[in-house]
Amino acid sequence: MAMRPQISPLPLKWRLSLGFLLTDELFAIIAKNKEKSLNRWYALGGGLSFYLTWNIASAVGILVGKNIPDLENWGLEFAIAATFIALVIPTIKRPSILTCVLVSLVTSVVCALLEIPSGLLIASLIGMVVGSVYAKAAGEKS
Amino acid sequence: MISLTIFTMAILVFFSRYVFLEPRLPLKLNATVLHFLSYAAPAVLTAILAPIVFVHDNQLQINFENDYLICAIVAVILAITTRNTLLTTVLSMSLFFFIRHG
Repeated sequence: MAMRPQISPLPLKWRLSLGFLLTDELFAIIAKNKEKSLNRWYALGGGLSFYLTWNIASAVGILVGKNIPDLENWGLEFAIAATFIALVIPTIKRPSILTCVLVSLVTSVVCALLEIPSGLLIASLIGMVVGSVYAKAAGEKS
Repeated sequence: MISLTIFTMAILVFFSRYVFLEPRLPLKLNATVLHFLSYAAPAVLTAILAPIVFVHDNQLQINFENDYLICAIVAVILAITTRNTLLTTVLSMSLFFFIRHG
């Protein structure tokens, strides 16, 4: 949605291919150069590289994963936690975002303990609501 | 049946992204909605990572025998001090594997 002003003027061929490749990661790297107009070849190259790497890594995972004993005990989940911590911390620039993160953290842990199936969704929404209400109440400038 | 499900999901995911790039679609979001959406990334990422760190075997684990918690604290400190995503990820993961298998 944030890319709409830059991508929607492009011809259909470009809109379809960039729409297909537009992932969170690609968004992160092309949204950085916002001042300049979008370089469509840069976005295409970045998107294709992500797509290829992702597919190759999945294939390797499928082939090799079965042959490694007790993969569950390796604690590979921590990789997710580590990456996300490294991504979340720099986004905390305002007190309301900190509130949002803390609320979302507590709610998701409570949901996990109670084994509520859509805990992720519930925790995210409550975190977002509390964060934006806090910002309103504190008269915070974004 | 499975391929049909996969195909339908592919169309849904693609369409949900493409629709916002389509110029003929009249769409304007007001400032309140945009402000609300700006909390989406931190909220969703936190909601994914928190249970991985704190909950094991359906129990709340806040103690220093929880490797996940120790390394998560280290990762938070690294992220605040270095502001470097790659460094934070690699160092905290190395610490985790060192504790587990070292």
